[in-house]
Amino acid sequence: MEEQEAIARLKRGDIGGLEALVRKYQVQAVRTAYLIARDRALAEDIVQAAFLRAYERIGQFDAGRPFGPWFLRSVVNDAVKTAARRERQVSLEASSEGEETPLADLLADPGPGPADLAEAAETRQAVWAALGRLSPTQRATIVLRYYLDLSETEMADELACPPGTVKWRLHAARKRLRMLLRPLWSAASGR
Amino acid sequence: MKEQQVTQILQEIAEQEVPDNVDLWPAIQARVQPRRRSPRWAQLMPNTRLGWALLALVLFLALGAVTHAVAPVVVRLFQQEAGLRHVEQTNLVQELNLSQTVDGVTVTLERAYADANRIVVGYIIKGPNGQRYDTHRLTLTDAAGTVFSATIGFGVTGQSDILQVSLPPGEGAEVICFDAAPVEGTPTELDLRLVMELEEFVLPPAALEPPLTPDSPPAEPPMVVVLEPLPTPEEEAIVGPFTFDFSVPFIPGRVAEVNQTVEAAGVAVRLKRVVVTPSETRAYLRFDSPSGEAEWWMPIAMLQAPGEEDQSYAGYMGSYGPASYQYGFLAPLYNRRGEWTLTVTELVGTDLTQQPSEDIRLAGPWVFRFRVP
Repeated sequence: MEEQEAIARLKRGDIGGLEALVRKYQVQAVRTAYLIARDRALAEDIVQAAFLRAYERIGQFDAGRPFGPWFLRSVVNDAVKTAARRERQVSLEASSEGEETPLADLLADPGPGPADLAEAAETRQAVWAALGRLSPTQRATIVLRYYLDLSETEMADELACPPGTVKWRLHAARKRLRMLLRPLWSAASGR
Repeated sequence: MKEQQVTQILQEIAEQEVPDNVDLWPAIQARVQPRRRSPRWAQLMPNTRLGWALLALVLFLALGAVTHAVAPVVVRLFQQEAGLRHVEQTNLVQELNLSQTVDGVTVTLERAYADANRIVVGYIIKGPNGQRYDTHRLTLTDAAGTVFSATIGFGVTGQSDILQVSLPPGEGAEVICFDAAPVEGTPTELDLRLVMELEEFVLPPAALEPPLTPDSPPAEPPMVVVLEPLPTPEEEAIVGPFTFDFSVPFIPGRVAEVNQTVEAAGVAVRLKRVVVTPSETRAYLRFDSPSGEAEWWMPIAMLQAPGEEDQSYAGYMGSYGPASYQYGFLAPLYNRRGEWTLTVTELVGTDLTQQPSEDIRLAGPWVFRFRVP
């Protein structure tokens, strides 16, 4: 079933339309929520609730626009709020001083390197741990930019904030991540 | 390391924990049906009570494999929910089989039922040449001109493995429930008029375009753009009206005038009365909004009837006035007399001043014990 048809059916109260949208977006949505909330069960709960809310408020949705961004915005917002409630993490604001460093430059050496599985796993663990020390908002910023591959303009739309705010948030998130990944960075540089 | 590799690490982490075969649909489906959403016909109903419209339900079950129906599809729709299944099984449903055809579209009003909580009609729509028609407007009145508001409904088009039916193209069946609270006294039967208009179901043009594939060339803007006028309501293919006059036996309810107030979480909730009929048990509640910001609230309630302690029942909620709510349990409890318990476990409010709006939850419980005669 095409998305347009699914939305048309959903707007008429037909839950078959909802099923089609769930099938299409559930995996991406749960993964996005998981990267922000860091808990699989919680991520599924967030996405379920977002689909239910979409079902109830589909009347407010402009069928001429794609469903995915509208829906993922809800998922990201919920994941940030849920994670914030869980973590009670206050250290949202990293210093914005200094030069912006692309996240891609932070993690390992620029060449192909000894990409054995153990090291790859270690890198993943380090990145995962570092992400966990970001605030939920910063994590969402990183996930939107690098996992969902959104531009800053698209992120601004997704997060419902001005592009300048997104730019600043991205800068702060990258900088904090760089600080957190410094041991990995040092090890990679020292090889 | 390139940016793509950062993306790759995030993808690996996500894929490792959330596999491709994650399936939320069964859980979502189970949660959709009790929550319900107002269908278009309910929004368009004249004199529909606001709260009813907010929480009315239409389930269009168009799922699954094909099997052949044994019982008529409308009977099967009646059997999808415990209260109506009970009245169907105890032969309380009136067979009507009244048909009308307008512009090639035939509506057959097959069955009806009425008690002090709800009036139910079941009908089949058959469109010409496989064209599907859905309900656009539905009005039920009695001989005195009383208008009954639609509350919940069920429907099916196409195939449904839940109902085990496969309907031919252009055919659909619906069961619609109306709030019978306005019925005065205890008449032996109701003289009713059902007026309905249908609209042709048309997919939006974009849905008819061939799907894009990874190999599809990027879309290029046409040199000349021809703008087709959008259809206005006057131009929609509305068919009807179809008018059915019929009579149906009326079953009065057993009423417990409770009038108890229980306070919890700083909120006083009053249970005014409970009306028990063969198809439904309905509780009438009243409480003031605990938050000025939340514009509407929903009580979450459980019901325990004698001999039914371990049962749970599907329910629906409506509002029948300021701070006034009714909670319908779709359960056959007509023969359960004695001590009952209604427990409002929490109040859920939606703060419509927030975008996106957020739920506000107040935990109870508010427990009411009362006797049903």
